[in-house]
Amino acid sequence: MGEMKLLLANVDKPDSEKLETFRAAGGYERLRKALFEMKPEEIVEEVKKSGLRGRGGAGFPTGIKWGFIPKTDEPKYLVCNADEGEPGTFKDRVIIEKDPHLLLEGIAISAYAIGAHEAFIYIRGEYEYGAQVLEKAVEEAEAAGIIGKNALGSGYDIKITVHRGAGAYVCGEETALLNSLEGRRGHPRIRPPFPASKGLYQHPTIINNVETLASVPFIVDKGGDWYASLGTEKSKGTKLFSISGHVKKPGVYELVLGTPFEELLYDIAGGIREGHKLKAVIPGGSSTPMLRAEEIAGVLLDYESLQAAGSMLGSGAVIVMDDSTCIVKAVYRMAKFYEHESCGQCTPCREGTRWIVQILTRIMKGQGRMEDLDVLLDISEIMGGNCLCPLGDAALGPLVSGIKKFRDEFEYHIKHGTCPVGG
Amino acid sequence: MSTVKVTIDGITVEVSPAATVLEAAKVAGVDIPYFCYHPHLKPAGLCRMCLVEIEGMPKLAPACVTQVRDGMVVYTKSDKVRKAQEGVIEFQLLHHPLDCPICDQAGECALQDITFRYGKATSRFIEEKELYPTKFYGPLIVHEQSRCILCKRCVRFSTEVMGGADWNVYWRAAHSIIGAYEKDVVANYFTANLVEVCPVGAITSRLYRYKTRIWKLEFSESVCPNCELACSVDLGVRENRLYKVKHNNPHPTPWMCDKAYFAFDYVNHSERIVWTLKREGDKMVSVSSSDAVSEIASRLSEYRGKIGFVVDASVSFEDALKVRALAEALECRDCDYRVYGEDYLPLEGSVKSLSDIESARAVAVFCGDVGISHPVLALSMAKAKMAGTKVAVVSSFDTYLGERATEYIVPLPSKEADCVEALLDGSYRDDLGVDKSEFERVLEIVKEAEVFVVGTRADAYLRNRIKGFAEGAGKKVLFLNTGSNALGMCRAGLFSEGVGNILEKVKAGELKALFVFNADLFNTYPNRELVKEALESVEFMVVSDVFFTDTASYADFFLPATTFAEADGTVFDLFGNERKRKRVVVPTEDVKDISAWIELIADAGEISLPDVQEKEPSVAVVEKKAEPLDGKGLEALVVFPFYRSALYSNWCSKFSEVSSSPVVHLSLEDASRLGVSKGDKVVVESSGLKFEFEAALEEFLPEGACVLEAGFDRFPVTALLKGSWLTKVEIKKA
Ligand SMILES: Cc1cc2nc3c(=O)[nH]c(=O)nc-3n(C[C@H](O)[C@H](O)[C@H](O)COP(=O)(O)O)c2cc1C
Ligand code: SF4
Ligand code: SF4
Ligand code: SF4
Ligand code: FES
Repeated sequence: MGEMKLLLANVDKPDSEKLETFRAAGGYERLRKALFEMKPEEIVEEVKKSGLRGRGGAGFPTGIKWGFIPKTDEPKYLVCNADEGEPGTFKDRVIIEKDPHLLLEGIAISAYAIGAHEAFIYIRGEYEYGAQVLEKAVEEAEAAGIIGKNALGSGYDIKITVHRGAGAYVCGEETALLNSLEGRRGHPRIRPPFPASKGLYQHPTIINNVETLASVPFIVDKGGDWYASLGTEKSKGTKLFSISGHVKKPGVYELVLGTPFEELLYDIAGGIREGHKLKAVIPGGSSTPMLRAEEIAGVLLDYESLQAAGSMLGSGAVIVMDDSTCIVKAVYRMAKFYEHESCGQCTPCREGTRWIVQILTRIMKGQGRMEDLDVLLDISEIMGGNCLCPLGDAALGPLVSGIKKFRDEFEYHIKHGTCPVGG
Repeated sequence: MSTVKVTIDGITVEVSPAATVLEAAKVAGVDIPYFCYHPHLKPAGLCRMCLVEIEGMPKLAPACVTQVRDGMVVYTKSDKVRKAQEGVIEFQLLHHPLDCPICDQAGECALQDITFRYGKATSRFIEEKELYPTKFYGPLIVHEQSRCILCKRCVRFSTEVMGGADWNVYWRAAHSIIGAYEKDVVANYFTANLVEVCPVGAITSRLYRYKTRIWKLEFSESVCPNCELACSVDLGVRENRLYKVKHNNPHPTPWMCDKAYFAFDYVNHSERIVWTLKREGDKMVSVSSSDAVSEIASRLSEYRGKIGFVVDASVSFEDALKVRALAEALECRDCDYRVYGEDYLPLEGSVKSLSDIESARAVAVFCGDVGISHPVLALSMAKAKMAGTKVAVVSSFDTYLGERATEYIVPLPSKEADCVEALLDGSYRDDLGVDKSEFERVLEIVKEAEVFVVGTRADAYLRNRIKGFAEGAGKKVLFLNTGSNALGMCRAGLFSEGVGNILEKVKAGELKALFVFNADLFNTYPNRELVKEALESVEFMVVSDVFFTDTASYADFFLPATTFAEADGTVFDLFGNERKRKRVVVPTEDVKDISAWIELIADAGEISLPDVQEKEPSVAVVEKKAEPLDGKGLEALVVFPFYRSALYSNWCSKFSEVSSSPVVHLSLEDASRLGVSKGDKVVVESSGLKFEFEAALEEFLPEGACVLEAGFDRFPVTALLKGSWLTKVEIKKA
């Protein structure tokens, strides 16, 4: 357990984004192995064995997802989700900017595994530098005959295209992403049909997160069993954590899944700022319920432990709040984010997120009423599970947990019209 | 087909496995409330009003997008469902202005109805409501964003059915708004449907604005009188006034066009003449109808054998038969309905329904502007195109289908027919003046086409040619005619050698008297000079019409006529099906339908009307016309713009306001040569006559061609014409 550098093995090298640097460290040899020594089904099998779960937030087993691709000869697509829009999440960016060829290698192998000849990297518009790095890397790899037509001389064609988003968080949601990629409004689609049967341009499509795809070369290299030997029973391999907030050393760290939360917080990230105590953490990005300081004791950073603790691993974005934080304000900030980012298609999310912000604004202004807290919880109940896409549920994570776990702080705001911590 | 069993609130029904839970509930007679679902749009699952509980599913499911499974057990009234329903309604109402007392949708509003049935009585909302200003999108519709529930039905109509209409969602989240991006005026021929699909009062009709309450109207089903589609319409009447048209019966399609929806207010127009009039010197004076009919009857005996009858093609089959009966009784042969100067009679086509077109792999459309002449047909073809049918349009001017077609070529008007012939011959010719590769691409579709649609500009020669070709090639053909009941007119035998021929005979003194029913020849016939000469030389003329038209001003007697809403009657749609018009407004004063007037005249003159039989049109072999187009300047095709093409458009206030002044459409090349930009005033001149038009520039028009708009009150552009709708004009900047 603890830190282990697979994904981050190259990122600190000088010129880490260059093809030579990547190749010198054995880069693209895993692609060669996949193309020349393995059948696509074998790769899918290895990924299944590895226990790799999606790193975009939902944690769906990657091999199983790939298995949903129908065995027809219609065109298939692979889409790499590099929209990275969830507040607190900035882990994919490191791979994109510092080790783009690792991502390209992962994409090429995965595309081969699912029978796709076209792959798209959908990158958030704000990552302009990252998009340029990726474009450069695609150019380099194409020029070197690694990807493109007849990749590495194997006879397999794979075209990779970088596509910039236009700045909507919801376009990280896979079906909104597909609409956006097709040039439509970034509105999530109704499921079924699922993208694996009708995705991009109504053809079978796999969407995976950057980190997920970047993990694939290691599985091809050392085998699914090896990867599965890392981590816990249900959480295999290593995972990037982007830790931010009131710690001394915020940043991106790669940990074997199952590492104790406290080890990340206090050892790796250097602990809480001097003179302050931990108050709460949001463990998996702004959509996951927050935990009080005492709730993280003994909790491991893996899918099942965080779920048992009442939250989620999510995208591995740990937001740390010390005792100077006003929870009401933190909840308000996140509520405001979701109100702004709701696509507006479905009634509960569109109207609920706005109403939540209106009530929280009033509470922040010192005009709250005690019954507002129950109204907020009731709004969450009406929204919860009733929206068209998961964004509506995501908006509720910090709100509900914030009210339930720090109700006294909300009540203080309402009773006194001011903030107990001066936030 | 196999079925599956679904149990909804304890009621088990068998439905198709493709059905949704919502559809199954309809079968079971269980009411599931919905906003965004629309039976003729793709399900969207947006509003979440239709959430239901399904056994074995952890979350509630939207019934409108959830497919049934065999053995599925659904609950629509459980506590969980109730809570979600109340929640969604509460959410929808948070920022809703609750201005039902001044909302035209009140009484047929889904939000009102569903709130009443499924909502809670109180709201917990104490924040400020975010409201938006009212937006008028031109004369037809008004949009109240504040009332909008963002169900996107209007947007889905615009994208799924129309395709390419400027109507969409803008911004995001709770600040999403619906509207047009570029346009200040939304009038796209099918605007009516935006109003009708909107479940609330967010898009309403300006014609109906603040006029009456829906529950005060009594609706009866009838037929739109504006084209051969003969769309079903429901006419809403209160105190003998027609206020609203709806389209509940989805025949022939679920959609209607703006002619049905916005062009009916002439029916109750204050300028209607409801009294019988008689000429006394320069004046028309009111007389009793009985005096009028006896005088007419006695004059008719003088003119036995020398009377012409001209009837607009929108009158009913029964009326047409009656006119022919009178003509036969008076030994007259000269009766015709082709008031636009058409030289062709309806040819029986082989297309028997719209589905023949919608299911075709490819369709070729020739010589017309179907969006104007047969709007809903154009809509169906555009929709078929989006579903994969290849559509080729060959037309010198097309304002709707062309830009939505797979291929569209625009020959000079004088080359339009040649171009079609060249396509039938399968070979390109340089003198056609169209791009060779475009021609080849159209030719591919023409070859592949299962259906040819022949527009109203195709003449008799070309129609015969196309019919012959299509029969040989095993293709189906649909021939389009001007007027809503050309087939009925033809069956009633109301044709001789054309209206032009009748006018010539009047002018020459061979015919001495004239009956004109419901037609203003000065507006419709493409030779104003001839009309004028004929009407000046006619000895005796009776005009029966709804308004006192220019034609009527030459009459000796004016008999007030009924509108489509005031008389029962039969028409035949473009496929030859019988359709029934219904009397929903009781005619006032002297107003009578044609049959009634003719019977009165016959009674008064003791004329016995024979029992006339339906007549088969004789399909004469027609020679190709080879009249050279002489004169200087640009080729000018004269057309009626959509918003001047409905019956009595000039008396339809909102409808005609869309086309408020006559426009000349110019090619970019000619416009730049003339130094004319969009909106400039230009003078159009030919044989000493001058007219002022407003310029519009069209990318698709070829150099050397322009299009002039007709149909405007007191704007006699038909004076430029000599029997055909094509002429030559010189254009200058004003
Ligand atoms: C509102 C919303 C935003 C999302 N944003 C992202 C994102 O930025 N990046 C990402 O990889 N997944 C994001 N997801 C998850 C994706 O929908 C999808 O599950 C993921 O890309 C699948 O990849 P994985 O299986 O490799 O995790 C988001 C989901 C939602 C509902
Ligand atoms: S839940 Fe929110 S983001 Fe998702 S579809 Fe509904 S409105 Fe859009
Ligand atoms: S304008 Fe009407 S139809 Fe369009 S989204 Fe709003 S409520 Fe729905
Ligand atoms: S398509 Fe024709 S019949 Fe149908 S509504 Fe329009 S004008 Fe009337
Ligand atoms: S009717 Fe089903 S979601 Fe709107």
